[in-house]
Amino acid sequence: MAEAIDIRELNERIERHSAFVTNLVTGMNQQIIGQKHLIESLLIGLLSDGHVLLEGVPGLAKTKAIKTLASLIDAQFSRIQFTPDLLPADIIGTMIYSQQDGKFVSKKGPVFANFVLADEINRAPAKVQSALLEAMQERQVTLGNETFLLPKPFLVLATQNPIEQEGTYPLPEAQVDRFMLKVIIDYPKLEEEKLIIRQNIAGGKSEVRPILRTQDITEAREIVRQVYLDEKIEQYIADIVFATRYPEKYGLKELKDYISFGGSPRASINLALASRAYAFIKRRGYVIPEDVRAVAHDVLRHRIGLSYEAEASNVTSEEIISKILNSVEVP
Amino acid sequence: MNKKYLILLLLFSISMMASAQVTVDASIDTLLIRVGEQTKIHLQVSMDAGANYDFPQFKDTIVAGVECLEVSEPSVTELNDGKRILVSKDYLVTSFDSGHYFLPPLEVLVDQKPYVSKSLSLKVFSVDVDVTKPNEFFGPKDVMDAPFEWEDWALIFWLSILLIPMIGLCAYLVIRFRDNKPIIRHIKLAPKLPPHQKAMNEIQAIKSEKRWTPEDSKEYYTRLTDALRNYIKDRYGFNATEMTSSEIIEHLTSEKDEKALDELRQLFQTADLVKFAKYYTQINENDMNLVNAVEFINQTKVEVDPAELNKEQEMTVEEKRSRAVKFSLLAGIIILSILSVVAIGCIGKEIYELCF
Repeated sequence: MAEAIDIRELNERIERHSAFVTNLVTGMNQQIIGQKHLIESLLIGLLSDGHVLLEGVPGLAKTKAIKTLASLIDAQFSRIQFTPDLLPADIIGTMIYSQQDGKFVSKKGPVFANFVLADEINRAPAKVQSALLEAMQERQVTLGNETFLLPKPFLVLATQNPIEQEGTYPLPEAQVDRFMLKVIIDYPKLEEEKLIIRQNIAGGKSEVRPILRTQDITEAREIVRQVYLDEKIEQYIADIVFATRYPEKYGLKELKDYISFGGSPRASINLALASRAYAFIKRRGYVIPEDVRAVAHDVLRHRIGLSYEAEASNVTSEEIISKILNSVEVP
Repeated sequence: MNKKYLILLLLFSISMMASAQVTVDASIDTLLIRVGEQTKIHLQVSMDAGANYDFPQFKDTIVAGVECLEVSEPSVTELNDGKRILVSKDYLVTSFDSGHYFLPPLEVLVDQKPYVSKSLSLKVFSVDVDVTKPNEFFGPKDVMDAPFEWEDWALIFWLSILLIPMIGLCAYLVIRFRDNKPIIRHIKLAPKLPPHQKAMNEIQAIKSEKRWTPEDSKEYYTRLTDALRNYIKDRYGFNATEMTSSEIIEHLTSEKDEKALDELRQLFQTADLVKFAKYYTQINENDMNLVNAVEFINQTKVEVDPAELNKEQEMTVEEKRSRAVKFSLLAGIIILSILSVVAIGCIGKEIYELCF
């Protein structure tokens, strides 16, 4: 076999630097039973510097998974419970008058952390959501006349509940697009459910200790950026995103009426980034079509606007993505 | 006694006469009309049912100066439980000369016997003209155009519509004639190759096309895997071209021994490395994978009966549609030609009748 040296060297580096992935997964598995997809998605977000929105009914360990991940990393973690009376200042901070000094001093909010858990993000009004989403996009916060950079890595992991929609403020499409992944959490399997019962009734929680430094994540991110993405894969990603916009060009004329708007260029970028991170998790220095398909649902499901016809016909974005993936030719 | 017989005979004769009686009655709507006005003469004949009758026929005039414009069809009403009938007929009359006209009794033949009605009279008077007001005199009106009647033109219209396709057809025939082409193009269908034959041809083409260098590995494996994917798609019926390598292997595992797929798996893995990871292979490795591909095809191919191959291939939907269209076109040409000839004849006849 002739050697492609750059890829081989990259593979070796990935092998060296991705050992923490196993440790992280093991650490997560000690606390969370099952939910392999959730753990993988959190790792993708962590490695590709993309925020993650988790959606699932209560009790599926969404918050626990995020807290565990944050605990496994030696980094600042803050949790914000979104409520209808929350104010933007409760998130980003505010200026407080100091009587001692006779001037205003900035009081930083909980957003100044490496990992921010925005629990039940759809419970707070749009003004509060946009304050957080602005910080997510700009990675900086302005208080008074001063602009503060947010720490690196900065990752927002938000949760929302698909039920009990009364009194909630659903994230607008433009804002939900800021999240790299929208992960739908499903119920655990029967065997997993039994393990969960066993683990919880046994009592005595195992302590979660940090096993990773923020610097390790920064280095891993650097390697993820070097994961080779062939132009054939670029074409495949572009084809998938284009098929969400112009399904008729890909032999999916029946989807045209169901889609009011397709994925933006941000969808293509995030699909490529997430595919790279997935390839890294799988200890590969290059992206293959499997990687793209593995992350396509999480990257695209919140970026496809459904039309009234789709809602009337009970067609979901999941079905649309599946049809697109089954119709676009794999390189 | 003789008197009694005489009275009975008289009564019998009277009743017989009454039963065979024919009465003719004539009346006129109005006795006074102005010049050019019209009125109706009603002629009624009462007779036994079954009798033959013949009403008077007027060609133009009843008497000099009184014109008969229209004669209605006789209307028959049954009387006395169908034993007798009452036949009515109307005559529309007018006059263009003022005067007092005597209309003689109208004669009706019943069973060849003449019966007459009473005579009638008709007074026709002219319109008074006030000569002191000459500005109220109007000249004669122009000849009026006959009103448009759709019925007169409907046939011509619809037949003209029919002529449009004929003109199109003529244009098509003219073009085909000008280009020296047959009216209907005949398509000779080449025999369709079985999936394994197609794949083998493609592999043969890859093999013989050029001398593959390690730098050409990407193109080489892209073509090789495309040939295999298309073969698997046609052979097993699942959309292998839209599946990843591992998905294809997974699908095949359910149909084939997993061990037998090892070489194919190896081939796809190498192809993925070449296509997506800048991996370069040696020529002998390419040859080995080519042999593996051929072996896989040979192991999994479904032999086709040679007699089947000689038969005309099964047509694709597009081909069937194309042939159906051509058949419809030919039938259409024949039907339209016949219809058009008939249409032209009818149009000519109608126009001639309207104009002359």
